[in-house]
Amino acid sequence: MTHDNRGHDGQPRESGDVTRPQPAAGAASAETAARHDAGGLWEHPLGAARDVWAVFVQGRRRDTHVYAGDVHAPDAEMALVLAKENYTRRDPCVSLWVVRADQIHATAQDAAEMFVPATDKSYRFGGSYRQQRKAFQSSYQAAYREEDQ
Amino acid sequence: MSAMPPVLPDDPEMGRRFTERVQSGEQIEAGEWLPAEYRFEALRLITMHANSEIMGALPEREWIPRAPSLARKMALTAKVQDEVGHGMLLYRVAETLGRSRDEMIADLVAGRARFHNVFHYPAETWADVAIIQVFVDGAAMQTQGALRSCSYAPYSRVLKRICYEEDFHIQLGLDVWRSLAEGTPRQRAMLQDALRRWWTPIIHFFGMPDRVSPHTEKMLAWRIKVKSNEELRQQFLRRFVPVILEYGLEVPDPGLRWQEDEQRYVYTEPDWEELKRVGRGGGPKSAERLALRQRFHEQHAWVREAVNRWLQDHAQDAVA
Amino acid sequence: MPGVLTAIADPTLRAAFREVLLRVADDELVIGHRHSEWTGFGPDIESDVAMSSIAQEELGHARVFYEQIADDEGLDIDRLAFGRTPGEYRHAALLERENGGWEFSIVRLVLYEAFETGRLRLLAASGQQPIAGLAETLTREERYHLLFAETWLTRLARGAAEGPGRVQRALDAAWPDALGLFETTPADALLVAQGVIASTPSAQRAAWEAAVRPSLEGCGLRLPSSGPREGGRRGVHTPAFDGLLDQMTEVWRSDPEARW
Repeated sequence: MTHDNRGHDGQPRESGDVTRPQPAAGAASAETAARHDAGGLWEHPLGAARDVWAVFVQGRRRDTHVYAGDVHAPDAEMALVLAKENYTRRDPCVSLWVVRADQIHATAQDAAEMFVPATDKSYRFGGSYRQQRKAFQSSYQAAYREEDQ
Repeated sequence: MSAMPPVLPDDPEMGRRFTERVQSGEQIEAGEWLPAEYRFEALRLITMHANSEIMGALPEREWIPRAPSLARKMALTAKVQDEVGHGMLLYRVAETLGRSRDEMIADLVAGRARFHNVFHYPAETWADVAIIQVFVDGAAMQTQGALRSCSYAPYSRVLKRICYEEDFHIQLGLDVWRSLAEGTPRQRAMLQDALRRWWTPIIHFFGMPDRVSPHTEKMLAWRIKVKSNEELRQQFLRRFVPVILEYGLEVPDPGLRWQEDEQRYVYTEPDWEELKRVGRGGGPKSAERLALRQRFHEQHAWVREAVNRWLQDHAQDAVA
Repeated sequence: MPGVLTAIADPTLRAAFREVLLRVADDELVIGHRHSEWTGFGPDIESDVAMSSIAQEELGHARVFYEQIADDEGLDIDRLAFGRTPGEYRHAALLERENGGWEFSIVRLVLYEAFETGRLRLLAASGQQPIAGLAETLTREERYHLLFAETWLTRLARGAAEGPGRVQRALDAAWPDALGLFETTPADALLVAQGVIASTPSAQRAAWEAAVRPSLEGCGLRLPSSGPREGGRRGVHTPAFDGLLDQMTEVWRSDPEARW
């Protein structure tokens, strides 16, 4: 069986779902079409078969869940059961998340430029290093106590 | 999939920009535009790698039931498990390039797909386990290590994880190697014999010295190939011949010699025809192992069907 | 900490406890061996990997129990695990049966894991250290084994056309052997009488049946009415075990004194 599911730009998409027909190239279907803006392609569904699940591992209680990879599974429960041995054999884990990979939307590589600041953003960082040091040497620093931590 | 099927020509401007990006050291992510030939070659490389992990489990798993101690039994099971797991990771990378795992496995089981030469050979004794874990995995490490800097990011990331785990395998392998090399005369003889039988397939593993060709140049420019076959083979010899000598065993090739001036090993030219034959499925164990895979694949057909039906019944679960 | 057996003063009680430890160790070794045979041949790659972990864990459990005996008696652990005649092994026949189809292995997992969890809980409550503490820890891994087994069971037994029939047949085949898990010897009565094991074998069997019934019937399966097939606890095994033991000890036997 050939998979002729081509994406918006005529490139073969990742192999599609066996149960749901892929939308034809150029279809305006809102939930599956990639989005273009003035600058080009900016977001698209990650694109994966229906039975692919993204796995997130929480190492310790205070950690966030971190993406570890995918498993193929027929449903969420099986995905979790399989993820345990496929992704946490050597790494500490207290919790797993799984989500259908085809539910993940991603910003496009074309849009990476939007994340690079064009102007000085040092105001987000409390000013320059020298200014920071000056601020700390003030009464703010003097009033600091261990139990404030 | 031996030749690229005819496709529409790529947009030359996009192709040029793509090559520039790769040559400037950028990695390409899943879902990005790829030249058709790049996609074809990357898929061929990664599929063969995935297939090799799955087929590579077969020679070693024969010794799991016969492992001579509880500790070895657990360690070998864990090691082969890792290989199967690597197959899982690699098929997933191949999926991002446009093939489904089911298709790739169907091709493999039907004998339409290739896997590395070494896994077409028998694992005749327990000592073969030591040789496979040190030298075969060691050989694979050279290639996999180099490809960590390949241009396809999903493959590069998975290779980092694979190399991390292969390191443990080689350590385990060296432990088995040591037990045998420092053991009874029978154990040493078994080890030497296994080394002798595996030597040529391991030298073959890296492939013939690369022909200078536009194809090879393109693969290097696109960083689908990072080091040449001969470079990798030399790397392997430099690291692993000392292991053999350290334990007073014999390098099976009497023509193997270190050339100080050239800083490389010379070795007896192996029979490349054997490599070609084996690669096409003509190895001593090729047919038997394929048949074994087919048997289980067929045995599990109803399980796959049951799971597919379950998948369809639950397809609408928690859909936004 | 001294081994659990050294701490038992009464020789008859010690011998009875040793017998139970050996039963656990042999059960886990043999099922671990069978599970490990799936490595590379599972129905899908992820389940192949998971089953392989279960195999390793069972072998690890076997090692924990063998160590108690080996340390106490100054035995080499591999000689204890590999060096006995078939009649000296104390595992139940359920575990030595060949893997057959995936459905058989899954059914066996469901039946055995429920049993093993119950047994470990009794050992955890026995007060005999360090085994009591160790048994408690091992239940963590058994929990996952049971989860894996039940998750698969549902998808097979409640799934496509062939599933329910195949799973029922596997259950019918496994049931008499599963009841054989509860085969008793004089050791059982003694351990219950001395308050080491809190539950009689027949009470254990009833509890086990109550535990597996919802899982099995919930999948539309029918609990068989056949009686037990016994022998394993007295060292009487099926021909399948001869083949298993031969293969498992083939390399070790080629030189039991060697370091492998």
